[in-house]
Amino acid sequence: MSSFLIFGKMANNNTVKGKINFTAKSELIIQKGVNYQEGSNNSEEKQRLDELNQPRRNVYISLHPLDFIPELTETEIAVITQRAKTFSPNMIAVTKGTTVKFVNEDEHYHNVYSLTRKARFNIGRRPTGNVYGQKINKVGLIKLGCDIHDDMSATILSLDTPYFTKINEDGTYKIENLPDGAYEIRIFHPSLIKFSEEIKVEGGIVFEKNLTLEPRV
Amino acid sequence: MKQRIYFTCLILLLPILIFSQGKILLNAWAEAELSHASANSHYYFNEIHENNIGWHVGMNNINALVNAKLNAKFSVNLRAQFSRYKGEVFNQFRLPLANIKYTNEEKNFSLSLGRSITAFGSFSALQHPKERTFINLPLAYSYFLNISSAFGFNEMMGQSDFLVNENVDWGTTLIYYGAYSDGLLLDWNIKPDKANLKFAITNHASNIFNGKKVKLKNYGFNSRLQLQPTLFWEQGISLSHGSFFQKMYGEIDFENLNLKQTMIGTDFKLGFGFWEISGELLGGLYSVPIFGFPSIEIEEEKKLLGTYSARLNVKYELPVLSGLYLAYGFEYLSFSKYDRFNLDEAQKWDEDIYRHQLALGYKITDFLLLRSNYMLQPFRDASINSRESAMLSTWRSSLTLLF
Repeated sequence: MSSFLIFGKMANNNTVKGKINFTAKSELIIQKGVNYQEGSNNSEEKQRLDELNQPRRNVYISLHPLDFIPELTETEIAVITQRAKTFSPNMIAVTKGTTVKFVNEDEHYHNVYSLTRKARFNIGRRPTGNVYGQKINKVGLIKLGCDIHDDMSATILSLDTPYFTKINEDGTYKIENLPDGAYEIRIFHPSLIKFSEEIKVEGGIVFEKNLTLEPRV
Repeated sequence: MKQRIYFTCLILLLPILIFSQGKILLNAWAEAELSHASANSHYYFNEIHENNIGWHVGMNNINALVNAKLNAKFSVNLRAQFSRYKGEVFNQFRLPLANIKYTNEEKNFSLSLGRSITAFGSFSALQHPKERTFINLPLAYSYFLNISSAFGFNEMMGQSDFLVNENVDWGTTLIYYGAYSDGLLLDWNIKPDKANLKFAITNHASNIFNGKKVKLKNYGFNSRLQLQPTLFWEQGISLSHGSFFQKMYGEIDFENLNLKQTMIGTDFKLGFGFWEISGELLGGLYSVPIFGFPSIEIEEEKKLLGTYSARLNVKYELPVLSGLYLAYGFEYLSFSKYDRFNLDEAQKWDEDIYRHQLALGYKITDFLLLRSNYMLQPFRDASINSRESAMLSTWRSSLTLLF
């Protein structure tokens, strides 16, 4: 397959869309990576953010070209705020090489660190309003924490493809402007079963892929 | 019997947890430890049991934490722990945390009924090893004083097996060793991120330890006001008062002695960049009788005995290697003078002590934490160190597995 690789293939107007459904079991998944902390706050704002950060909202669909190497540009909006002692959003997807900005919007110091192999960093304590950019050079999952507030956690999904999206509130998704070719479609969620499948799009088609996610055993 | 009660409580709580409508948060950690301590070590001085001096390796504790939201207002908090009994045999099961909590978000307060973390002081809330810079507890939270929770002060405490049917009594710590207390705890965010008040009505003062027969007629309070004057500065002010009478020895019941402890403390934390500087000043005042020795007699006149402690910790996280920190800690525990026979011959009721600690910690992964610290603990009076032939030294390394 590598003998057919073409760099920067021109985009055709192919689309992949669909809907992600959840089973009753998957609604009850335990949110992993959340640490217990005595006296952790439960303010109205935190509850609102927790609602936005619900595991079912953190499903990403990515398409990985199999017969060409896509050109990677930095993801335009790659910002994680720290508000009400919560990372918001608590999961983002970016292309490899993107600088993710961390913004402290709380009235106290926050820290951001990662212990993920090949992506370890520690930005130190940052005051209110501080914006810090951290370049992400590793492909895969990068787990984040706050050294000061142990119950804060977030994840960066760093991808080697520009073709990805997060599902909408109703579970639907759409990825447009895909060049012709074969792709591996991957569906990622921190706690649900991983899914991948090969698909082929060409000639401006609209490919539909619906899926029901089960909890990871 | 005690263990049966705990297991029964757990079984009763299980249905609540299983059928809770909201989120259930489960966390756990287990700690293994390698230590080397000098020959004059003792659990009551440096948390090393005398049978574990020299090189020693073993499990230190296993903990499970449960936070179950029953609905928007109520939640259940549990912590189950297996640990070494007095630092020696790994067979002690405890439920150090077991409460039901009511939270009122509109008015920024919560009420916890049951066993909660002691409100007093800066260290009690740091139960998770990830939050603890050093392995040892601070002196004021762990060093045993010559005051018994049964009969008051005795200067020979811990040195003679003079009691009726008990082992040698080693007195109490200035602040409750396990950092938990039973009662009703109010946690009020007066102004979120600016001012917080914790106030607990409990069935004992802040220094009760490992109680087997805690009397319900004992009562006390402990409290802490935390202020955040600026972004990088947290300041706490703590106050506690209460009775710490705990048990009777054999047929001898000293219940009417009404042993009292009053404590006041202030603590601070400054954090900026990769630095954290924290400290605490504590003063304890005991109103206790003197227990005569060798005869079992209690002098009627109560004495006021004071104890003072200071702690300063400096921690630096190395920016070049995420997860690695270095820390230095200094502590001082001092005792007031008393005049036993009112002969104008006041003397200290115990020996002042210093502690120096160096620590290194490394979060290997999200679920593995390695810590190592070396501690020197000399008496202020250098002649005592030479008399004891060796300064108390302790090296402890722990590997914590987090779930």
